Amino acid sequence: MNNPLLSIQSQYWAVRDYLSPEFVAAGDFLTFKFPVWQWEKGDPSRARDFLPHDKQYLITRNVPCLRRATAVNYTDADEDAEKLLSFLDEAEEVAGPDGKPRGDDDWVATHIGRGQLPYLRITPLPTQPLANLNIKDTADEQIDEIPDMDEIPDMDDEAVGLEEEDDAVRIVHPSAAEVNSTAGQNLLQVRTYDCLISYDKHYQTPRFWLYGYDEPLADSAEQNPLTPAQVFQDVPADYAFKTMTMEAFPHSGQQLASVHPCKHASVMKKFIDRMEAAQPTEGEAAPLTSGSKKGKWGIGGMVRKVTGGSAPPADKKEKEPSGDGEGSSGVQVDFYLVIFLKFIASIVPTIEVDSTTATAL
Amino acid sequence: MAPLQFQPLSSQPTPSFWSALNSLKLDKLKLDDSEQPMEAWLEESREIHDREKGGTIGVSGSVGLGSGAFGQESGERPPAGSVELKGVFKNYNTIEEFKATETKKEIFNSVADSILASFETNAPQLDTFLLVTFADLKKYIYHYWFAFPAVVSKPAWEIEEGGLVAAEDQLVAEARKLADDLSNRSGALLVRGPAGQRTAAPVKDATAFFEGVPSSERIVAFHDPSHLPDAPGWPVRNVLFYLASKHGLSDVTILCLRSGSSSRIGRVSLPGPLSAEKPTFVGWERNKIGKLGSRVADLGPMMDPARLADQAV
Repeated sequence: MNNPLLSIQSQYWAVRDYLSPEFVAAGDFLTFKFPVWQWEKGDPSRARDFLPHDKQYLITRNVPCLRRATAVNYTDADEDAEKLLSFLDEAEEVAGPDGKPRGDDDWVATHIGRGQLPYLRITPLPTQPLANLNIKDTADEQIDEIPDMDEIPDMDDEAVGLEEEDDAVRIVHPSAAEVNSTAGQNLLQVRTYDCLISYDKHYQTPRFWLYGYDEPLADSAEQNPLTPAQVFQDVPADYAFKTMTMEAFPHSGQQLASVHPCKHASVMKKFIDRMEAAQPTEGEAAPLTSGSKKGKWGIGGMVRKVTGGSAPPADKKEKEPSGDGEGSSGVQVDFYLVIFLKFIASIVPTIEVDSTTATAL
Repeated sequence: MAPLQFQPLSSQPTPSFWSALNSLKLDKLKLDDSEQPMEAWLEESREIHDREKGGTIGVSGSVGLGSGAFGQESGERPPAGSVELKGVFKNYNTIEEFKATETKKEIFNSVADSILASFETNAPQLDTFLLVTFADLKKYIYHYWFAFPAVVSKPAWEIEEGGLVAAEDQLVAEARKLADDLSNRSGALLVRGPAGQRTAAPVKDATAFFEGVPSSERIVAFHDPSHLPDAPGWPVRNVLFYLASKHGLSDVTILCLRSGSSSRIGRVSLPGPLSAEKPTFVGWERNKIGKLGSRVADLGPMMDPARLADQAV
């Protein structure tokens, strides 16, 4: 309660805006709780002066993406909403007497639970602009690539005489064939993303960015960064080129895929409203217990899930820095980004943005 | 006893690294193609949960380079818990020079020699890497080739029957704490002592630290980028050679610290004394199809103003 930020939280939930000091507070919490996330300074010449110079944006690296979005059906918005409700049920269950940790990320898995459908049935028809863009992309690439071919050194010649064979079979390096053969069952190499969260001044919300790396052993392309077209393979067709576009990242100027923030505030408001609506249920059940009990219903449960339930629930509770201040509004500023990640996970379901289970070192 | 195998490192430069390379080349180096110092980071391997099919998938840690690779103040910070690598960077001005075998051989050998020489000093370079590049600045295409030089130990290290096995959580936790306490970001450390009272020392102090410690209790712990259950990562290769050549340790236990609960442990030994010949080095990174060869990063779609203008329509 002594945090001055908390006193204004109900206001900002009401206006649905998310102010920069709260972005910093939430970012601090995220980095503290899940050290896979960290603050970055970015290019000083592009620094936003409403944020501390060393806390310009958040980044987590090498987030795996196990399969392409086209391999899974993600397009049903109604079902998403139902899933969100069910996470609240789960949150209550978590608070139940057994305190048994649920399966990892159950409630985040907004679409994941569905089985894979036959490819032909689920491939969404590309919308007109999408198709146009694709055609243009490939055309451009071809034009550019043809003159380059001569310049690219012949890979076979390149290594001649450079290195002697390592005497015994000491290098364990999967060949392309090996990777292909095991790809179905146990992927050795996966596509990975760097995920960034910046603060969007205009919309006053966090904004999510993606930078992709190709599978290290992709058979054809020799390019390490993913092209925009490849990145959009990992975004369900509902979002690609619509809410998800390539734009200049404000802190470096590079073109990264980004979720346009115009709807963030209202979606986040919905998330939070639902969580708050669920709070009284638990409050009635145990009206006399203080913050710790209340914390358990929602955020506590969530945090425990997010951390993979590795530690006993009780310990987790003690360690939470924000166990206090649970009073008027159920959801705290600090948790905003944790919730935000759940929201993002529903937009890019195949990218494990929420894989905050990695243990801190 | 089976021969010990190592998983090679793989590189993963971030886009901001290429931007940094751009500005270094344009603003500072210009036509200067001398060698430059640089930094990278190396992460432990991770386990990720496959929500769709169940089970876990191991992801190897890779060598990352950010905008701070050339020592810029404002550079990206390496991820928490990562190991710091020091490297040598060389940019060639023409693609022909970049392609030529001789030039690369020369620089690789000079790095290898400096590693060997450092083994005789009090500051062994165990994690040195090399990066050669050719930057096509007009097209935003970067040809590059990493090398992670590692000594070929003759005879080869062998691992005891059973290979690497899962390490006890308690040992891992203790080793991690000791690594934090040493608070250097180097890849490896030495651990000895009974459970609960273990102590640690930097690798360079091996002779004194392992004095009187039975060989079965000499532990070399390191942050392991490999996710293979039966093979440790590349970095321990130089550590083992250094311990054998400088400190005469030919029988140690390696503790591979990996994220999550996948840390491994195993006892390795040399079947005989190290060959007196000058050791050879290997370590050029393989490309995506597993062959020795350079890689290409095409940042055109992300950095080329003309293409960006097209996309902005």
